[in-house]
Amino acid sequence: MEIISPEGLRQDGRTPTCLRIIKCRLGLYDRPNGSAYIEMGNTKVLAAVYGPREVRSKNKQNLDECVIQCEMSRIAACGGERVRRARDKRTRALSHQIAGVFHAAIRKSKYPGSQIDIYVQVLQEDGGVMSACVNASTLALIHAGVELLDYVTSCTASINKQTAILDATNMEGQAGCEVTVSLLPNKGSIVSLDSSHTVHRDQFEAVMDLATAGCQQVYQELFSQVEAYLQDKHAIMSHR
Amino acid sequence: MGLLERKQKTFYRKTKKGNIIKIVREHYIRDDIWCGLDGCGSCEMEDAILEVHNTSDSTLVPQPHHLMIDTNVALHQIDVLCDDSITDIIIPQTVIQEVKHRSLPIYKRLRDLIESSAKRFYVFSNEHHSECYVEQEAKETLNDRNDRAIRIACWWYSQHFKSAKQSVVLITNDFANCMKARTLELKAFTMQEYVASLKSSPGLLDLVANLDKDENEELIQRACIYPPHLGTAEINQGVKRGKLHHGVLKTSRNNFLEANVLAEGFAKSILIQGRQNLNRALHDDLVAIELLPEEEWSTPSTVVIDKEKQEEEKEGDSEDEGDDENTLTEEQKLLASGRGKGERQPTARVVGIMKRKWRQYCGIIKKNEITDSIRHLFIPADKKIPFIRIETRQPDLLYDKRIIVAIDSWPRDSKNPKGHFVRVIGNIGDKDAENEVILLEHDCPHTKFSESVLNCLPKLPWIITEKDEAEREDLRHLDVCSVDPVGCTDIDDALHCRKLPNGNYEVGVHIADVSHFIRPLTALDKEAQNRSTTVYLTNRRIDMVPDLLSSNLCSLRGNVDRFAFSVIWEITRKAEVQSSRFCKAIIKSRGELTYQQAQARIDDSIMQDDLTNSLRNLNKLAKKLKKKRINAGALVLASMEVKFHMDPDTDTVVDIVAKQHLETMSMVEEFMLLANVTAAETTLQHFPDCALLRRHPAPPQSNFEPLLAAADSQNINLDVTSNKTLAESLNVATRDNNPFFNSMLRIMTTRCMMQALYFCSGTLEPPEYYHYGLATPTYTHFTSPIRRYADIIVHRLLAVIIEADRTYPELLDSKKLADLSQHINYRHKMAQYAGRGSAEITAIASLRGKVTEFDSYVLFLHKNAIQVLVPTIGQQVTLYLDKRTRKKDDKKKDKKKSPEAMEVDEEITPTFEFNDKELYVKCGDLVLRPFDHLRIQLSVDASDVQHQRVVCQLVHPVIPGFSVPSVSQDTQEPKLKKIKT
Repeated sequence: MEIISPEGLRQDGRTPTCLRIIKCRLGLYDRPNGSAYIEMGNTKVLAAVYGPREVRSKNKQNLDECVIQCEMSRIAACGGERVRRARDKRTRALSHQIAGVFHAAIRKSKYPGSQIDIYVQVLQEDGGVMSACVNASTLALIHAGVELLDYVTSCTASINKQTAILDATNMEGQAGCEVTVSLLPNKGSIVSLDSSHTVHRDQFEAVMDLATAGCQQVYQELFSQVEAYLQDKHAIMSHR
Repeated sequence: MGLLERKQKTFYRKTKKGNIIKIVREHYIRDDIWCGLDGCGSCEMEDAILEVHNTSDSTLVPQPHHLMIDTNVALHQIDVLCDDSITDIIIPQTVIQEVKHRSLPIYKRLRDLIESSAKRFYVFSNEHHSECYVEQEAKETLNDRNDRAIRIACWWYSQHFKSAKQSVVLITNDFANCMKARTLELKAFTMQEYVASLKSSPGLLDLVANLDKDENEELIQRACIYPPHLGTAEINQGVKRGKLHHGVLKTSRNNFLEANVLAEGFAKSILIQGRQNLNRALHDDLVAIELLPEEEWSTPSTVVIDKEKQEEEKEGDSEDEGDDENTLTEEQKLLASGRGKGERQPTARVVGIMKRKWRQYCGIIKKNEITDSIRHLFIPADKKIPFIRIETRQPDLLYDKRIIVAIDSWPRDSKNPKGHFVRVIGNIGDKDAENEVILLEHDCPHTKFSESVLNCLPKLPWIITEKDEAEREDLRHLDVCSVDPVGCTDIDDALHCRKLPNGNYEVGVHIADVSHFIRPLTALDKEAQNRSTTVYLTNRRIDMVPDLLSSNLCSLRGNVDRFAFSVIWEITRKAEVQSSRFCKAIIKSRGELTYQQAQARIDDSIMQDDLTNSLRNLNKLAKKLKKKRINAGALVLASMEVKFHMDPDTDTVVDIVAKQHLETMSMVEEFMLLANVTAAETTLQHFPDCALLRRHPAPPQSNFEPLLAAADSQNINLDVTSNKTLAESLNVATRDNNPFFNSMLRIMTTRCMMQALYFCSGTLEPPEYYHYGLATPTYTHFTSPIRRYADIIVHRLLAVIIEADRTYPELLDSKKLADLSQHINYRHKMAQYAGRGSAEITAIASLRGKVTEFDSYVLFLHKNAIQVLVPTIGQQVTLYLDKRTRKKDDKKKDKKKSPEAMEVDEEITPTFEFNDKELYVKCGDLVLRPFDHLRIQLSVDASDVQHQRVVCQLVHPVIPGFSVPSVSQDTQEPKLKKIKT
């Protein structure tokens, strides 16, 4: 399979360093404290945040800071083919990973003794699922008004014959590796790093640099969307 | 600039389970796809490929223009596109994607053309262009959409180029497409029309593939020779239901009308006999077959059918259809006559072809009796390929040339496939042309090294820097020497041995450090990887790496400092390896010895210098090592290779010598084996998933059947249960009256063996790593990196282990390594065949112009022929027993020089009785069995300048009416050199 044509274009017509088109919406539902929807190409994710609220099981309660829980799920046909076991080990592992990312980003000491729940649902997947989940959760947390140190943005990169490629689709990720980087863009610190396949150390740096750069691009995108949302909201509020 | 719009491509795909899933892929439209014309003005590309034209060569299109091609033109007329006079072509992305989908070899060739800057082929990514993107409409097939996309792209170009005063011509062979393009006011022509209109290149028309329309197929059904093929859907359905089977067709070597297919679910291969049952399938095609009812099952034919012989006998013009029928029945009779009485095998007929493996074929044109005809018959060099009908307007230029032809189609009403001429290789008999034929037929890359490859070489004068010295162990104080055949310039191994204070020996094998010069992923590395091996022809060597490396910097020549990758063992007096280590070193060889010189030194007791003594020690140790190896079950096999001594000026064979065997040869061999085994063990230990190893599978018992039958006929019992029992029973199988008997047996055993293969350790289970021939659990190649690419990979792995080098991604990827080993295996096999083919041609050349007598031994028996082995020239020749051809030879003889042939009484025609159960051919009282000694006469029938054939005739034992009298003994018969067994 030719991932990058000799003309320099990928299968879908992007250049190696080009992101897929990102579309997002904040505030879809009323019941959760915060909700958001994001499309990174054909990877589509819905996120809802409940909390900060009372801790359900008292033995988990921490009086110094809040408890963060994440539950991720995939709808049965998100990969094209219907899968019977939608909740498998991998999904659970990813849930923990996403929760871990936000441990680093939420000002936990602000909400002592309480709990924040993040529910993420993958509607369609085409590479970069973890990234889309992180980005959607960030938006939902912002919508919920949870205090964050910084945005958390995430992006993937892969490698194909010496060339690093940004925001890999499913096909591209399988042919190379899918390195997922989650970043606090204003602080410049990486909060999570994950790779689906082995990456040779000679190539690792190029892949990670590209993914980090991708995170910054994602940040620009998310930031402008949030800004637009707030202006919108503000306009409605002031109109009232 | 960048992405403009997002579209979704939707399609449905069937999964393995049979579920149908919907797949959605993104498709981005861009606004930065440029036209590629230098001086276009409105586009902003960096490297414009197309040039502005001022004149036109075509009479059809007087304006200066560029060409755009559609998919079918790219697929079928690739040879025209390869011609130097065709330049400046715009290839829409739609076309290149379709080509890739339909034929990978053509896609590769097309990509090569695009890459060569002189051709100026430009790929236009129309699918992502904002103005050229078209969506598939409802009720529109994918093909129609693609054609429309091409037309739209062409239209865009014609508008876009107006400002630059260029026009665009669409080349398409599809009539409907042509018409539709013209309604868009585009210029559209077929390839034939366009090429015919070119003023400056008249010969180009020969290259145009002539594709007949399928439409009139129904009209000519009466004349059809072959049944129609089934479509893909029908085949798939049939295979699913179990009615049809599929597999790769392998044409028999002896008989071009017989083939075998190995299909899933069958223990034995399925037989296919006769032209009609083969139904236009060629060697290596992937075919769908239908089993015949059991009563029609047959046995493999025991006759040898040579299509050239057939054709010659007929001597009629095969264009006559009635004649075709005659030949068909004749062929069938001949096949039937060869049907043995043995066990019947499943027999089938071809009903469809799933994948063609057509390639370009080398060969010659058959002289056509009718002058002025443009239709000619092409005789491929490969005996498994049928004749090809081609059209040429320049037959006189091609008669005495070796040419290349490609097949275009094989319609049902044509006995032979239709093709077109591609190019001339050279004159028949010319050394370079003959070599090129061999190289092309065996797919050996043999072009000169490109500029970019040569740029990777170190600059001369090459010096050893301090950094090098610091990184490497200095072993220049050791008495290292190399031992190689005479005239070897690519010396890749050297040895040393010294006594240690504790009574043990330190033995070192030093291998040229090629991986120091060939760095991964450079152009040089890629080229070496593609070539994979050096190819040795009798009069030419095609190097894997450029000469500077292979015969200079990497060659471990005497008295110069060279880089080596060394393996050093401590070995006890009983030849037990105590320890081993690898290191990168600098060595200085004390001398490049030949096997003979080394042997002389060892034998000469007066010489007591260090070098000679170390050679003696090595020799002693080697003998012990060999004994151990044999005890473990290693086989000693024989081949009938001979060495040709050539006169370099005239390129004629001066002398043929059987390869002599010296002790020093097995001395070097033993240590090379030990080095290879050590390398294999070390790499496997450190890289259990990605070590490149070499395995030799044990042959299945059925492989031994011909050997056992032949041995049985001589009352020899061979035990083939394991390699050890086989080796032992071979050792005792000797005949006092036939000194060559044992060698013969070993040669036949060699033919039963499987091919040894490279593989990646992660892809197989450890028990499969076994090397049957050498009886070692793991084996690899480490000792010849100059001429084998596998060794370079092993060197790189070892260098990582001793921390002298770094890994790179491809080295540790077991999937890539598995692909690479497949590629190397293929190249190795082909290089081997090429070497043999070259030896055969040289042997035939040495027979030319005289009648020579040889001693020979019966190898295989057939109903109408005996295959005999002629050790003197190291060849196998066929002695035909059927009288028809013989008579003709006699007739020819009558006309020609040999007066003795007149004495042969032609009235007596001996009959031969063939028994395939007990394996003998009987003629009167005389019985011929395998291994029997025959004296034969060989000459080259040069009556046809184009095609020279070896004529083989029996001299002794005398069969009246068949054998010929011996030519007077004083003819220059080379003495049979005794071949060491």
